[in-house]
Amino acid sequence: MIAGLLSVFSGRRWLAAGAAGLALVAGLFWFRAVLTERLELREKVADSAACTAAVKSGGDLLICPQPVADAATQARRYLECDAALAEGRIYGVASACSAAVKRRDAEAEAAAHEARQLEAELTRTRASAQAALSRAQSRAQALLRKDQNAALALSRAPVGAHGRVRCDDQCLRELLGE
Amino acid sequence: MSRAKPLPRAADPVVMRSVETRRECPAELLADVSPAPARPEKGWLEGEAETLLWVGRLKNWGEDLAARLSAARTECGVN
Repeated sequence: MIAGLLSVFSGRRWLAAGAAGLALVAGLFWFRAVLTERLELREKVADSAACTAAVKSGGDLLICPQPVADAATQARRYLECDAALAEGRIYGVASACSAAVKRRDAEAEAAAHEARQLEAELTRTRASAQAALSRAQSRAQALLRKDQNAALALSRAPVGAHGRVRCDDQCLRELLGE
Repeated sequence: MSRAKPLPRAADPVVMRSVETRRECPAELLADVSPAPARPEKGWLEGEAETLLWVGRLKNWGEDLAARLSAARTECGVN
């Protein structure tokens, strides 16, 4: 009985069975590899489509490959920066623009501020010069009037010997404009 | 599935420039203007008309200078 059983799995039949088994195992591994690859590809295609949609719609870029995400983020920031610059939003500029643009923007802002200050200073200086001019004018008029009064006071004073003019207390008061 | 890291934002270089214009008065303006010397009471003066007139004009000239000084002090915000 045992010998009969052994005889069934002996010789060429053993070889055939072994080969079939090996082929089966190899086939299973191959099938598994193919299946895995297909699944990975499907996932990649889905990710890629999601990334494209995200880039188009302005959505979350986490799904994208790093270089694509970086490039898309950069492009979005350029647009944000342009809008912020055009509308003069300081926070928008600070968050979206590159360092070089920020520096230029800050310098332009500082220069504009300086120009406004200097313009105000100029306006004030002009007003001050105008006021000084009118003060000088009234002082000159006052001086002229006083000089005329002094001459008038002396003309009223009595002339003594040797043509000397005697200017008494009252005359001095008028002469000196007291 | 890859997870992209967010791109870091640029550093903030801030340029601040401020112009302050302050007018500083010279010490000569800060000092008080001394009053003109008083004329002696019941005095009199005798002399050549031109010279007497010159005395009067000298006083007027001094008063004009004092007025200018006073206006300058006012501009400086002293008075």
